[in-house]
Amino acid sequence: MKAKIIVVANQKGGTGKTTTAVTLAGLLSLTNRSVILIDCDPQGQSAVALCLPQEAGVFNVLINQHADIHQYIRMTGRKGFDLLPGDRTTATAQAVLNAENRPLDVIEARLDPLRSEYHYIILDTAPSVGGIQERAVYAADYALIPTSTEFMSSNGLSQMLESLRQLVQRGWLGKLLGILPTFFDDVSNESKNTMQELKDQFGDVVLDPIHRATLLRECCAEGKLVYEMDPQHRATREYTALMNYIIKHT
Amino acid sequence: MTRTPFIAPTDTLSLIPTAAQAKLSKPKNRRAWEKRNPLRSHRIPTALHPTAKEIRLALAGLAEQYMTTHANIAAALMHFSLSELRSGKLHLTAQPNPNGLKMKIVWSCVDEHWPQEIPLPKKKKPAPLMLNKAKGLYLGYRWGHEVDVQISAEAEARGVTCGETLVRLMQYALDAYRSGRLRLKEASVVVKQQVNATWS
Repeated sequence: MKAKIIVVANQKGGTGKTTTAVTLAGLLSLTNRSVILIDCDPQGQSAVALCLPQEAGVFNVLINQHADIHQYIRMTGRKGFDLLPGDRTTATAQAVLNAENRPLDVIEARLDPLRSEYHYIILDTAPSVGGIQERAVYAADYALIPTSTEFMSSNGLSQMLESLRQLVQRGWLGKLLGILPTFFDDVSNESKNTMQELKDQFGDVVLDPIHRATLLRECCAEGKLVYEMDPQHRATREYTALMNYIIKHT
Repeated sequence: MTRTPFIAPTDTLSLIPTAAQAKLSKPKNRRAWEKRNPLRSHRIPTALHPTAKEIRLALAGLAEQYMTTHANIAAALMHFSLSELRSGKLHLTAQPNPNGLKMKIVWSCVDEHWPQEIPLPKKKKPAPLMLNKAKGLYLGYRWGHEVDVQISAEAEARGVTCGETLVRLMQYALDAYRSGRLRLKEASVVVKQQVNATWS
């Protein structure tokens, strides 16, 4: 077993990165695949979404280079689904990485022991440029870019793709899994226009959209995942389709 | 008229490989090598079943450690044993198996003789039920046809079964690994060549 590392990244905030990462990890674990979610976002919202306390897991893993990564991994109470939590100290780790000019593959090297233990390693990243996000993308085999279907977010998408291009030039061997339109709203003209723009510009790389859903917001408050709240909900079906696409193409 | 939010994205995207394209462009594995080298399993003698099971477990452990297939590990170990055999460092000697003796009838002529009676056969007893008969155990790995030929040749030269030879060779390699004399490491193998036109 060699884990496939998927990074969920976009430099723009509020595009559904954490929701996508957490839901995807949960759904993959339902298919008898072992998954670990690594929260590289200083906001530490992955732990909150799973009803777990925020901890300095990512900070310790990145700063204590010789510490065993396993001691910071937490069980989520779901079979085959673990979490390496993060909190605001992750931002400190980012400052240290940049100050010490640590190499691009620092996260990749720290994740190496987990490669043989999990089927999927999912990295949730912060909406920022450089530092941890850049190194997280470099560690990944696949990049998934959620982008909300609105003008500002699509502009951030161009910047994200430019960052990926620069990483390819610096030796990144990963692949673009796709652009995931989120917060799609059938009745909003802006949403429909942006969706059309995305399809015109990027073609097949644009995945099926995830519709805006109140349930996705409620999940966080309940500490449950969308499929635990309502297995028949449209959002559950859409994320399940995304999961199947990922299993097929990775 | 609405403005476009994208800053020259199409050019950027052409430089980033996508997962869907990679899946499509990946050539289909026609398993030509597997077709040329069909798996050949060897029946292991009952006395060697425990050893064969240990070998199987050891291979599974090593395959997990090196994150590769059982066949890859088995091939590496078998190549080691065969090369040691060829270089004379390993000796395989065949000796009579006391459990495998059977009586044979030979004839002789005698000068002083007297008439002998041929007895009538006794009533044939039904064969005892073989409840505890050991199940057959087979071992075989995809290490290529050539290796199988070499194992057969070694077995034939010593008048023993292929399964026994296989077990002994694997046991030798695993003992060498346990003692630290044999090391396994990953090495890149060229499976495909590509032509680049260059000039000087």
